[in-house]
Amino acid sequence: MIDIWRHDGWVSDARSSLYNGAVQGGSNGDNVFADAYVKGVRGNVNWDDAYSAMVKNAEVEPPNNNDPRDPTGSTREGRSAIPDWLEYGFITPRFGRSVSRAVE
Amino acid sequence: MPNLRSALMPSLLLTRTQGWNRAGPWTVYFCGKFDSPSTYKTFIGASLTTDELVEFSDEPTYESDSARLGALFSFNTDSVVSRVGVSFISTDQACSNLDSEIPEDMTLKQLRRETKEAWNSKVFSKVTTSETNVTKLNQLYSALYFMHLLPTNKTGENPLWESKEPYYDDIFTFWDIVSCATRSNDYMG
Repeated sequence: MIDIWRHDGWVSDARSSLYNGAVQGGSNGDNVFADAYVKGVRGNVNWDDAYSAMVKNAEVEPPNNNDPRDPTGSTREGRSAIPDWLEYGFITPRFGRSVSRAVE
Repeated sequence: MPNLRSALMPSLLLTRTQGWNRAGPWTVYFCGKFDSPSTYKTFIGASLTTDELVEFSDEPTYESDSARLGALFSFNTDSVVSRVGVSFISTDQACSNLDSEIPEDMTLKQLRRETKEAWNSKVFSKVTTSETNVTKLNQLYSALYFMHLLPTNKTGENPLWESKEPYYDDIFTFWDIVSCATRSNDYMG
């Protein structure tokens, strides 16, 4: 996953057939990282890079891939409703799936 | 041996959609070997799904992302052994994957036995249980099986970039592992 962030720019959410998306609501890669870290996974894992991938999910708006299923933002990776989240602390309906994504 | 390359393109298979996750096109290369000599004819269709053929000939190579294509092999024996390798990188890599995993002298029986042994030693014997209820044992080992089925270890098979790190990917996602928690009545009988 960290290598995917290094090469694709974003950690995957529901990666399938060599492509990061479609996102499942939240940036669930973060949960996987946190769970692995808390359970003591170390070895060759570069946790500084993993943290960078998580910070990017939390702070940067991903580019819109214009998916007709949700044209309001990226369905490929990241949290496309970040602009509302950073400004208001919640997601307005100008973004698709605003409630479920806020929960995730 | 004819050279067939068929590009799997989720983006074109359904003109309405590029596949569930809107991925770009991706290609699977394959390399097949028979244990008996054969003659062949090749064909290419008018589209991906039609029975109608545009060509049916001795053409040794076809490449298309919009039409079904294939080869028809004829043998003089009753029984033929076929070995096929795949790769996301190239036909050469498909051939070397084949030769390293299913060498020429391997039998189907031996392959099945080795696969079973790999699953037993690397997955199923990692847990022990005193449970004797067959339904519950089926659930346990079925769940372990599905958990380890995907994502596929594609280290060395990633066409997108080279890296020292491992690479895992599949047509299903991490999310789909929820399917390994299946209902007990799926395993009755």
